[in-house]
Amino acid sequence: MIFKATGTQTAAAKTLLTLISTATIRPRLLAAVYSQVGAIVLDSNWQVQGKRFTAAGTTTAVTPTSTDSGYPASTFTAGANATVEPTYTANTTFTDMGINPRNTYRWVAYDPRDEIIKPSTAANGLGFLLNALGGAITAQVEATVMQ
Amino acid sequence: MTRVAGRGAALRSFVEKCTGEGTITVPCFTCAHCSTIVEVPDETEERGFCVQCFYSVCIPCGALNRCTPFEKKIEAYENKMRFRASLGV
Repeated sequence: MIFKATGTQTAAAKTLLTLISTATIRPRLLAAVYSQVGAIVLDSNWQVQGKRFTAAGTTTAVTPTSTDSGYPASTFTAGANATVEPTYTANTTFTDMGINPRNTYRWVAYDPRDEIIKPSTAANGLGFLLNALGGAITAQVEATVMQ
Repeated sequence: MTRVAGRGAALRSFVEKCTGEGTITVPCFTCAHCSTIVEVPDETEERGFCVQCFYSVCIPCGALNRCTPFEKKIEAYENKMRFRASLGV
């Protein structure tokens, strides 16, 4: 089953989106789209990092939406706009990039071996950290996850 | 305008950058050993390859010259956390 979850963030260094695994499933990240919404005031890059965490922190709950209306609710959970940061594991940054606010950036794992796997451990998962802001923007990440 | 960097880019995992000058599509792979996304704008660019798990790896992992697939690391981590949970830690 494939689900999508979207998170936004306006402050650095704060997490845009968390994808939280459970003890029963091993979700896989299939694709991610990075963009920004709203007016651009400064033509300067924002930096986003994808990392793994072992404690999910405190976020606003996001309900993953399925790509098929017949699917049941997702087992993994998602959160956006972190107020308490997840506990990121050192040296697990799987993506780190600077993006111009006028641009969008999309990563797609076409080959199953390119998918990013999350462990079947409760409260573990992947987080997208808005590490630096170029200007006043609302950064957005949309993640596509298979469970 | 769409520019595709690298031969056969459309048939592989890719990153797509929509810029003011058009859309640039670059092939990429995820390192089989550390799960880092690696862009390959040039097919001739140096990269690692593991002959044991038979998949592309990033240059730092390739330099280690040993095969530990990332799924094995995930399994080891899951087992460790299950053991800790069984101890109530």
